[in-house]
Amino acid sequence: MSEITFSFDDKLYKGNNGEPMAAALLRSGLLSITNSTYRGRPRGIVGLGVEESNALIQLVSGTKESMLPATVIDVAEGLAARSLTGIGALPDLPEEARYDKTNRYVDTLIIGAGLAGLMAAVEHLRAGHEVLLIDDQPGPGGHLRHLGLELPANLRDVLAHKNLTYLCRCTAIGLYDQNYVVGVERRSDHLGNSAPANRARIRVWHIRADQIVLAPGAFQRPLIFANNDRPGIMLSHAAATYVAVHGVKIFKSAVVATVDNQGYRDALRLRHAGLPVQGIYDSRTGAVGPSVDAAKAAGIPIRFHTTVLDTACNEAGILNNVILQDLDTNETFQIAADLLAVSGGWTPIVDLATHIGIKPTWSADHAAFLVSYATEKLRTAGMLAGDFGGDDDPSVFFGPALDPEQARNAYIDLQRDATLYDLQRGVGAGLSSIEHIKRYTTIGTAHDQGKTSGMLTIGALCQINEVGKDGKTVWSPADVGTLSFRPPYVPVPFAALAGRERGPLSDPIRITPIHQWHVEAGAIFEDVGQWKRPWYFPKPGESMEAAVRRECIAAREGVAVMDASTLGKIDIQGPDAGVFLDKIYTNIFSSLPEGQCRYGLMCKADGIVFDDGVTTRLGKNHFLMTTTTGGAARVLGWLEEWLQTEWPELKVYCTSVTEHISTIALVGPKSRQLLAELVSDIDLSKEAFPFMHSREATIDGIPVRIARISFSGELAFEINVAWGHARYTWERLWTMGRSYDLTAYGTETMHVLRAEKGYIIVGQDTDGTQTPHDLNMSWVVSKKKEFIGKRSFQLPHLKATGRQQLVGLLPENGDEIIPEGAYITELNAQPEGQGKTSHIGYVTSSYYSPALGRAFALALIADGLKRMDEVVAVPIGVKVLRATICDAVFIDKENIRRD
Amino acid sequence: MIAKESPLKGMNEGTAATVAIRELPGLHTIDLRVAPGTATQAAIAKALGIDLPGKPGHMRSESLPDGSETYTLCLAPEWWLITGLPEAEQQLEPLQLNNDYHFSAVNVTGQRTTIELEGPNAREVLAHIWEQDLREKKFPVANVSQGLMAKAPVIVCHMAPFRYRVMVRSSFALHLWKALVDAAEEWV
Repeated sequence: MSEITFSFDDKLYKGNNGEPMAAALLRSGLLSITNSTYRGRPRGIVGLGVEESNALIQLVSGTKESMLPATVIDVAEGLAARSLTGIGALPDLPEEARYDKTNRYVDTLIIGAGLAGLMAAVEHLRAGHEVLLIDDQPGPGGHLRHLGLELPANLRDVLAHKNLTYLCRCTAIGLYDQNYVVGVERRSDHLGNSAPANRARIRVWHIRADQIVLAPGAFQRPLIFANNDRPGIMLSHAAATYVAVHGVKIFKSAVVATVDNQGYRDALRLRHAGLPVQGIYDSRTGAVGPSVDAAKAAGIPIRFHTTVLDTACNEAGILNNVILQDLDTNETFQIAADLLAVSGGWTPIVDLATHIGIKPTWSADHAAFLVSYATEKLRTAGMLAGDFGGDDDPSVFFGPALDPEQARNAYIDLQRDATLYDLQRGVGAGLSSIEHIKRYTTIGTAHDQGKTSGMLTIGALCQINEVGKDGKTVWSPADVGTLSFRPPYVPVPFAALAGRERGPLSDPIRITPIHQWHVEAGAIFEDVGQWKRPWYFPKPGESMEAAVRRECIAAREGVAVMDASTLGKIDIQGPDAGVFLDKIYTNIFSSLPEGQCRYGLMCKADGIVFDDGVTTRLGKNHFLMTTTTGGAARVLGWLEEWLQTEWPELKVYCTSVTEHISTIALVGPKSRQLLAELVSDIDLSKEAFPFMHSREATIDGIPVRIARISFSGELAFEINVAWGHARYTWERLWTMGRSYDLTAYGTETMHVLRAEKGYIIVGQDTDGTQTPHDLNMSWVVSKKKEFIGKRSFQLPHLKATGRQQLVGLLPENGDEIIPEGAYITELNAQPEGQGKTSHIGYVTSSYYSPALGRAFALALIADGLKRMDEVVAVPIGVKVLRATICDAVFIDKENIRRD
Repeated sequence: MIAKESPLKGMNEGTAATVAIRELPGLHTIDLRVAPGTATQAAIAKALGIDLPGKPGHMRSESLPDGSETYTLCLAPEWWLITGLPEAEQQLEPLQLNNDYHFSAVNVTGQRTTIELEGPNAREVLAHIWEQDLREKKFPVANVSQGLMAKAPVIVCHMAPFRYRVMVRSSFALHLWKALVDAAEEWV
């Protein structure tokens, strides 16, 4: 072990590389680490691991993570930390460390690399299983490590077995149904400055195991007595480990208070390390066992039926005297000591077991809640299962009876500064359930989640209720029951849970094959679902408004091109394909001639518009449907649902080809002329190639399918080409289009162009409550056939007057674009009783139209179709705009331009 | 004929000594839908000269006379993907004209691209972003599975020991590529 230097509260300390910071600080003589959160009392290190209730620190180096116990931080060169008084803060910095997650399936997962876990590993390896062994300590052995003992050779060999993976510093934070465990592995902090930059600091393991062995071990618990929180009072196992293993030599005189033989073993360890032990004060009336004999032989004074009642401190608040009480005579006496090692019995770690609803059972013999559980899939082992391994013989004792003044300083939850007095008040207020007591007193709500305080609370409740009421009632912890624990077992940084799913990897970005061209052309992108679509293509220095105006004019007067590859495309085949589409769409498709296209609208069963698009008949039994960009997956699922569950007799198969086919829309009066330069194998004239027809052709030998489909009302060609040929085709158009001043346009211009023609966008001009009739689209609803949603049109509320209908809206001031979403009221509407003005609808789409030379809008207005030419009000803040209701088709009502 | 451009333009990372991640661009792919166990299925298999694996989640590979390999993936009881049979459409044309046969065979070559991972660390890389069980006993060679990888829909094929293919929708390909290369950070 090499010596390193780290800093704590701006002072430099020496430590052994990799040892817990708590050990290094204690060795340096730092007993009082911080002050308590609420009462400002000096506090020191109490425990050995994640159960530590006092010594919280914040890293000042590296990630600056907060609220970490000093007992679990391994020191390394350059580490810097500062103490916290229970309240940490997230650093005001971007989290730059790497965090990742992984998935692991194993035959056997063993949680805990103590003796029980290692022995389970031997057994499962022998059975030929692949074993994953995880443990939150830096090394294997559990208590053996704390005793400074080497692993027996056979268990050391286990760790080298080829079928075993051992993860140290990996804490199981949750156990879930189906033997699913989440582990959090700390991988780089202990390496300090030598950690590779690309190494994930924390890895979250999602583990699914055929079998799980829970061998998490136990925490030692303290006792409740007056002033039990002073620096110098520690759990005996922790104190003995710091002194005997970590070479802490700062104490001069120790007293041990115990309820079991563990106290004797720890007293012996302290003694063997050279620390005088003034006595072992055992709450039991007697004790037997090798450790008791050994303590006697070592000459350590032992006094039975005696426990610690109170403590005293020096001016720095550090322990200097222990006040003990004979439980027979109630006589008290005082012993000078600077270390009080307390052994209040063991609390097995039941947390993980309770995550999946297993109830721990109380064992008076163990003075502990145990989970003795064994099924084929999950079993417990070691201390959790009641195998305490030694001659502990604990008594059920949590501390002496205290008067109210003593109770005020008898701490149960050190981190929350919650005392026995607080708990007594809770009971006095009529609470008896431990869940209520927890919330009333805040015991167990700190970072340590009651790891040591939970059992004390249960014990204290028993004591309080024992002396209460009829004086006869005797409560046992079994009557109180345990707290239910929830994941995570220890705090986990959010960054670890996010893993790599942050920034650009937080959600997929879908791109078209022409995407890179758009990027190079300086497009500004819009997110449409997961797709990136060009929103507009500004020239250098050009505003959005100017760019969109230019793009609109190009489409209406020259020629413009748009990447429409994101449209959903579904190949539909089978002898019943036409019949199927008749049922899906509100209009008829079975009569559509081959080589022709038709716009279709689909409703859900409630008669509400769900999606729309153009479908082309490619052959007798073969259609190609297009859906909205965002609706592709939804529509395919909808088609499959009906085919598989309602109409399995229909012979139809659907296949998504969204990314097999790329679509380029070439729009504008000059589009035919431009296209003719590239397409020579078909006649593009309006006579030979009428509107809503589709043709197979080639461009430079590349097969393309061209359709006369227009989403702008202009003459337009949709060029469908293989995904891998799209970029080439686009660039050919671009090069050839130079002499036509071909203009690329984005979704904003597409929106303006379609709105000028009153074409809806499902999801923008609909809000999930519109029927086709509400959208003034009765023309697309067949009266001759059945289709999904048809019967709902008969529902009274869908036929009623007052429904919001899609209309056009012209603001009085042609320069003023009404904000989308703006409410519309009647012209002279007055506020009603509560100061609210009732509205009659709202604006769904609103743009400036270069073609009209003014602003215009689409709106959903109650009975709007019967209110043509009515002037309505649009309140915008304190301003009230006036607008006139009109037909939703603003341009080319006669549909002349499209040819 | 102008060459097609693949979504990842044949990108390549790492080495097979640890893990190599590479695009296999432009694998010819047919999406076949037909009722299993029918005369139609048998006729299709005969026309194509291959056997269709019967069990969803299984894949069959066959060597063609020209030395190339064809892989047939059974994705669902009536759903197969056939890769590496460029003649398939022509071979199935006569059946398509016959009204006795109901099936659909759609060229979906452009719909997805294929990313191959090869090397001793391939499985470790995948495990970062693939929640399914990759153990030999649960996902042996010649198994396929569908799911989400880095939230993108994919088909994963176990081609050979330490060699996997991930078929990903073309629009998601670059996203998945970045996620895979990122997952390989400690493994290349």
